[in-house]
Amino acid sequence: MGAIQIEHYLMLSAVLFTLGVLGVLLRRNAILVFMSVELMLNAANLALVAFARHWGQSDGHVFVFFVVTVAAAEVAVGLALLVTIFRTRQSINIDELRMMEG
Amino acid sequence: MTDLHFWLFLLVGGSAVAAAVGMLLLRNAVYSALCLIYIMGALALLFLMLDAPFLALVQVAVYAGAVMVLFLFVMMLLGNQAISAGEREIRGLPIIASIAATLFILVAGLAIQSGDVDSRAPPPSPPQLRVAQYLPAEAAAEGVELWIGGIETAADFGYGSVSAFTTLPAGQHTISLVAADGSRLYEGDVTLAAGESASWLIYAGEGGAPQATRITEDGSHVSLRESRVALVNLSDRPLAVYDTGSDRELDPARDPLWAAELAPGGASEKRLTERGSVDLAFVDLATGETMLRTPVLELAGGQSTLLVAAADATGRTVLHDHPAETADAFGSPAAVGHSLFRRYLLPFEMIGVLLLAALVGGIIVAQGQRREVRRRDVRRRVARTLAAAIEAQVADPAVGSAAGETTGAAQLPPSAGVADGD
Amino acid sequence: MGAWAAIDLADVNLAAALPALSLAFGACLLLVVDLLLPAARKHWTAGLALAGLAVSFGLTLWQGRVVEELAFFSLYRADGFGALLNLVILGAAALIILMSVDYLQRTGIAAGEYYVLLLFSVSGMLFLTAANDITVLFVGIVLLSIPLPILAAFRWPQDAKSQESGVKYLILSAFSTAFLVFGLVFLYGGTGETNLAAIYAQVNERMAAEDGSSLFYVALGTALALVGLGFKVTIVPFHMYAPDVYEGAPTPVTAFLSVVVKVGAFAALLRILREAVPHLVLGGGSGAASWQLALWLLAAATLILGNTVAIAQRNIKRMLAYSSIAHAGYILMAVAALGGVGVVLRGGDRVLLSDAAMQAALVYLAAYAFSTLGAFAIVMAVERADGGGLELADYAGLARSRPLHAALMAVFMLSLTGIPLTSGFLGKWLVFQVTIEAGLWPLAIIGVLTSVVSAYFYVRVIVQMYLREAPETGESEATPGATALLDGAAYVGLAGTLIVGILPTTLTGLLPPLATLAGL
Repeated sequence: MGAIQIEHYLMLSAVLFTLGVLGVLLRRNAILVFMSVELMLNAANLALVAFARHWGQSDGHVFVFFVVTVAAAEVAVGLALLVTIFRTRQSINIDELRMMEG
Repeated sequence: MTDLHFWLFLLVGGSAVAAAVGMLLLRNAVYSALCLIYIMGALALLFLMLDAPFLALVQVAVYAGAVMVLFLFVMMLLGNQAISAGEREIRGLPIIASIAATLFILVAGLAIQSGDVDSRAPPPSPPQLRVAQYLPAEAAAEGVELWIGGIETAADFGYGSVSAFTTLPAGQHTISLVAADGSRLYEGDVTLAAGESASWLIYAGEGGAPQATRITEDGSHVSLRESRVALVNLSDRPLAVYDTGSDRELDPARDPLWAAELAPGGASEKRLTERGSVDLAFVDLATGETMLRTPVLELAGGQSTLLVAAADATGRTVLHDHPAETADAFGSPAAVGHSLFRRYLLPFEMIGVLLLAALVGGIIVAQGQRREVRRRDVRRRVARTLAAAIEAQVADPAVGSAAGETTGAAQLPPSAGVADGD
Repeated sequence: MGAWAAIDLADVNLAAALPALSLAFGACLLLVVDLLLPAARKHWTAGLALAGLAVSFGLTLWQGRVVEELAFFSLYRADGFGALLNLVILGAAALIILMSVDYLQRTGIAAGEYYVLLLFSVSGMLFLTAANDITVLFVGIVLLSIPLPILAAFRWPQDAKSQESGVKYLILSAFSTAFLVFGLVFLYGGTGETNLAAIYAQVNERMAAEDGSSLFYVALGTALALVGLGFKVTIVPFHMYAPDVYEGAPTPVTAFLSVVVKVGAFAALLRILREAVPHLVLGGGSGAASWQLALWLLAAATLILGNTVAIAQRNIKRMLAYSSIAHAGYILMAVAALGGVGVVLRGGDRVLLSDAAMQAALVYLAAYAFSTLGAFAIVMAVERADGGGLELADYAGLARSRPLHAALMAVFMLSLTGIPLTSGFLGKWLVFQVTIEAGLWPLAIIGVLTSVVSAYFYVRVIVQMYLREAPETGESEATPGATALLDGAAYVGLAGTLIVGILPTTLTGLLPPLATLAGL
């Protein structure tokens, strides 16, 4: 692997994951929140591929395959719901989901 | 080369982080989506650098190409203006979140730095063993049973039979061949360590006594253009092996030498050759006589073959070939595919059910108003419409229940309104 | 090895995986059947869904898991623990379907796909209880979660709150799944194995070799997985959207989320903690597991917050939401005790502390399921079709107008408080006992104190029903939603609550054979 160790990939993965978490917590736009979740899942994928390379097994690759599929399914369901919310309220700002008192 | 790797990683990784920050800070939703697409592309490059070409392809095709396109499609559908409308920041939350994020990165970084995982070896897989027998004796021809470690592994294990690879726990195992009449033809012990894969060849040695040779199998990946071959000499004299080529004529001067000296019971090193046909000649070193001419052998790509020259019941030397499978290339579609249909069959099928559930869920949400339809309602609605149309035409209160009847003829109280509704 | 070798069907062992497989298949079949049913017979879908659950239930009983079996290349593990949880999940889901039928008709949202989605979610849970591999765990959790936002939003467009709860649950669910994945990634990364049993072996090996550094990955992975699953079982501080979701969703869906999903998510948590990292001690040694500290802090926070905020709730669904958060805290006490080491006495037999903690958690889950489902049945009876009838004030004077329903609700409220003679008491007793035996004294004290506090809001309902006068409104119908099916479900809940509570030996007497069933 030369000068790059697996740890570097893992650090990158941790940074991207954290940025994703920040996105979910800070952004008020529902689609942005979703995209941040996608970023988190991508970061997990990167860590998985790095570990698979480290252990020399393709089990990690299979897991990545599953994560990608699951992300696609979640996005499908999520965007369908978001579209309905937009039709009802003309806005997908999470702050405006205040019908029930938190 | 490693320098390139380093700078490439910095470039790709750094730009991915920058794009992620951009995605978080940009107000315009489409710009954020573009940043995310860039990140996915950068990750695909990183996957390539990590020897996962198939996943890089999947990342681009499925993630960037389908999921993000879906995002952009929805954004365009809803209208970018409406979506990117101003968000008010909640005071205090960014600070808390940033502190928490920094803490997490610190902790994760510490964990990763102290992980020292780099020098690990993968957990070894359990050992595998296969047995082949070449005893020319009468008793070994039919009805022989093969017993490994006290378990009957094969019945009717005649001359030239080879068992399938069996997974065994590491340690010592006893292999025995039992003839049809119950007499023990051979018994021997083999010690296997984790991660080893071996072939145990039983043949008749000096004076006809059964002996065995152990060949260590190498299941590592062989590309489809090549074939891995090992030559084994189970006859009673040293042999040399030449590839006579397409002319099928043995010419020791010019034909390539595959093995200079194969001692009785010995094996050559494994060699990689191009796949295709070979034509081998096994030559007795002492006499120069050709002991064995093989028919044209087809060596399949991606395979590991054991070519065994052994004496049969009549005393002639005969060639046996025993192929073995090799591992798939790391990161290739074949490797992922084989895993999906073998070890990970269950989650693979569950994902199918999951996609179906997501599909059903998405459609239900999108339809919204779809509820149980009762036929009665349809009829009533039609009747009502019809009655209303008649009323409009005739300017008379429409008839009650009998839809389709002309109003003129009916003598009904004028207060009868529309056909009974709900 | 074996690029071209055929699959050995013995490794697949379909027979052992039948309960989960049959339900997943049944859900797909139900989807098609629902499509083909003529309009006049659309109401058969619910019955067919029940039949599917019954088939799975029967298969689980018939297999009688005393001996453990592996299926699907040791990715699926059919053992007593899984069988017990399956029975609880399937029974609770069946009750919920019974409760849903009339509710859906009444509120105008009846659709066959509701039952199909429920079955998909339950089939995900059945795979979870048998998961022996992190991939199966992950896909099971997602299969469990994906239909839920749809179900929560099912009352849309009639009720905008439902839509909002769906979106909130969706975000929550996606966020938590990402954490879980990241955690599982580190579990794989630290050991090189995806199989839970193999992970356990690797962890033990490294601990024996005093190889603490590489265990950091496993620890990080466990922590992240805990966070991810914490969202699903609604423990503090991951309970963010739960009360809103519970309030806005259609009431049978709330019951499903609050009972069945909790059981499923706890099953995943127990699987990870018990199979993969039961004795993970950073820094070596043989004391309690390192995650015990985190769990008992979380449990304490959950108990305190859940029970105190519930006091301020006027909406009965929100109150039950916080109540279910609090109960997750009690179960978490038992899970924390799971990390302890030692041997305890149960009925004269010596059992491992971790096994006793497992038993306590399972009994608590079953007891909690009966009482909570019963309470939700009464809530659905009092709820009006337009979404009203969910305030505490609506229960005023119920004892006079509907004595039977009021009595049922009173029993359920007492059981949730933990009054003796109810199943809730047995659950709490076992949990407190095992917590004390694990040496977690502060946690046990907090548990007892918060139980006392919880009496306030549970008994408040009883006070409303029995001691307040019904307001003179035009509402003639005190329980507009009460139907035979709903009442039947409430009676089943009552039966469970009382039988387990009054004759605890039936359960603990069942427990030795059940204990054998659970492989404990």
